[in-house]
Amino acid sequence: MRLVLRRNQQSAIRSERDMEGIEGNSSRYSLKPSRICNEDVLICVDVDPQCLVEMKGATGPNGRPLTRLDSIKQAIVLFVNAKLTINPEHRFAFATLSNTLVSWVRKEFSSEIESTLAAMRVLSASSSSSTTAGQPDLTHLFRLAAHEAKKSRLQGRILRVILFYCRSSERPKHQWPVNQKLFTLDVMYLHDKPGPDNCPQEVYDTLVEALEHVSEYEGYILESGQGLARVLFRHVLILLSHPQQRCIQEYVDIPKSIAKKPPQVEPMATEDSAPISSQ
Amino acid sequence: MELWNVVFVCCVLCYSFCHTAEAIVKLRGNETIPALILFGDSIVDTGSNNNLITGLKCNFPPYGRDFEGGIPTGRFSNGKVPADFVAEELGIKEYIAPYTSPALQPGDLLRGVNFASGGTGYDPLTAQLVSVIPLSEQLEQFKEYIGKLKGNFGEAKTNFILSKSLVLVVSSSNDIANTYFATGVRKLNYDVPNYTDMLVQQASSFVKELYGLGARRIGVFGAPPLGCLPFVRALFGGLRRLCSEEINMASKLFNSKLSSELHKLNQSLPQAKVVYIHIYDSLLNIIQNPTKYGFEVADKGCCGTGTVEAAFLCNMLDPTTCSDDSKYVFWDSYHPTQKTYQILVGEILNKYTSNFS
Repeated sequence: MRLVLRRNQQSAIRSERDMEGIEGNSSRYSLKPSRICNEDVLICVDVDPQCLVEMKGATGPNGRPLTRLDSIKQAIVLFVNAKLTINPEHRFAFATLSNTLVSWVRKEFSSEIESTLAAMRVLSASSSSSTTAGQPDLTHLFRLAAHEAKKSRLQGRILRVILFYCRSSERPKHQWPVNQKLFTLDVMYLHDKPGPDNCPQEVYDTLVEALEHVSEYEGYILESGQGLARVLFRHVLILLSHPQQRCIQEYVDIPKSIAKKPPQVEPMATEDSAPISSQ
Repeated sequence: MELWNVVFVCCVLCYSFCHTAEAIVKLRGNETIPALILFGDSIVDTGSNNNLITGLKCNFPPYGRDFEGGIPTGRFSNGKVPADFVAEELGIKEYIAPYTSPALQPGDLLRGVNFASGGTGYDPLTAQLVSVIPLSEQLEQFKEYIGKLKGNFGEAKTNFILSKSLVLVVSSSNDIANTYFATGVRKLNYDVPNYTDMLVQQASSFVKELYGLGARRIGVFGAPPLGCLPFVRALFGGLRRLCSEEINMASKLFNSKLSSELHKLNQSLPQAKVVYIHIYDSLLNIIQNPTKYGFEVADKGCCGTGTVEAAFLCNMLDPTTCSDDSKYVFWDSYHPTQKTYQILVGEILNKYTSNFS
């Protein structure tokens, strides 16, 4: 069973609006000239104990299997390293999400990779599995992001939030004004394979809903239940795309499959397969 | 035909026959090297990646445009790679087939096989990132190979082949340039000294495994000046695309540790010849003095813009690919041209062959 990766109607509505814009002009496609803002990226990692689930294949420095959290840390370093290679002016800050609250890991936005490395080293899983089990609340994360977004805008920058979410059953909740869209939310959702004990599809749908609700530009949501670090890295590289330069997610066809497509079998003509009657 | 023509033709034929039948490189005591066995990455890969689901392939033009028949066999260059030049100089058959080649014949096993897979490294994560064959899997294939040798030719012949063959290990480039610096994923757990320690330990373990399986003549390549690869210049060389001194320092640090470790192994493993093969300065010399070797361009590859293209980015759709690659030190943004490889292998064999006696 595989998750049904369907975005809701809002994508279609936005798509129609874009088409109207194009039809209004000539039939020739053109990009409006615009300044691309530098990004302040707030990376929030869900540190629920489920982030300690082991990944397949890769091993850590001491030979132990990599956990989800280990792979997320590596993916974040990969992301920041690549992002700064593209444009050294982007800045990054880090927070964690647990059941009751969002906590800063590194509050000051920084353009230094060393700042990211230091943040990743102190990042650890929550041990409060006994404390207040239940739905995590994204509202606090959104409030915090909105607050930072106002500061970013004053500097001519845009704010992004990237949420790494690790729970296979617990749907996050949020309350947010309909028209307040100050930042763009991306989600990287890592989960167990669907089974009788969990339903990641419902969690995914809830995350999509939240993302659509708050995002200023096109936010992306990517998911994986394969438990492979390599897949996580590939997904994270898609999030390198600048929010102001994105197409709608359902149009994204990268990374392209490099496996050869099987040759399409032509359906047999009816005449050929017609039985020959004998008298 | 007049008599003098007949004599002339006979002399020419005789000379050619003597030349082709005789190995150019000889060891002391008239010993020969019966087989060449290769492990590692794209520097020596001759087509192992062709059947993998990976982006790191090159079995398409313009790769191989100067290879025999102009066929893109999966070699990461315009023509031959070091595996080919070494086999040629040792008097082994002209081309060592990839172990995974569908065309592999039992007789080919006697001449050695190629386990190398482009994109791999000593760090297991390196191969993971790009979905190619890690060294651990190459070692498993080697064990299979040994089983096939025994099955076809018997144990005594197999032991002879293994102990007399030249085994070359070429790795580390992708670990340092790609995994550590370009992606940065290992910076979280290691600084450069610790990462190079880890790589050397992996290399040492690999050599011990090879020894345990019967190999006795093992050559391990050091890292080239990775800071001078066109790809690395583009990413880390600033606006002027200089060689990255930081990455060259990492290469040199790795090399000094590797050399020391292999020396210890050479002393401690009975009857083994474990040789560190230094290629850093040879290639750096060519890069810094290209005209001395007949080159004109040393900071860009021939293919495409020559700054970032490698694997599928290096393709026939790019009109900026050079027409005369003999002027270029690099073929794509990562790999030397055939001409460069030929010069390097010549120097290496000249310098190190006696170490394997």
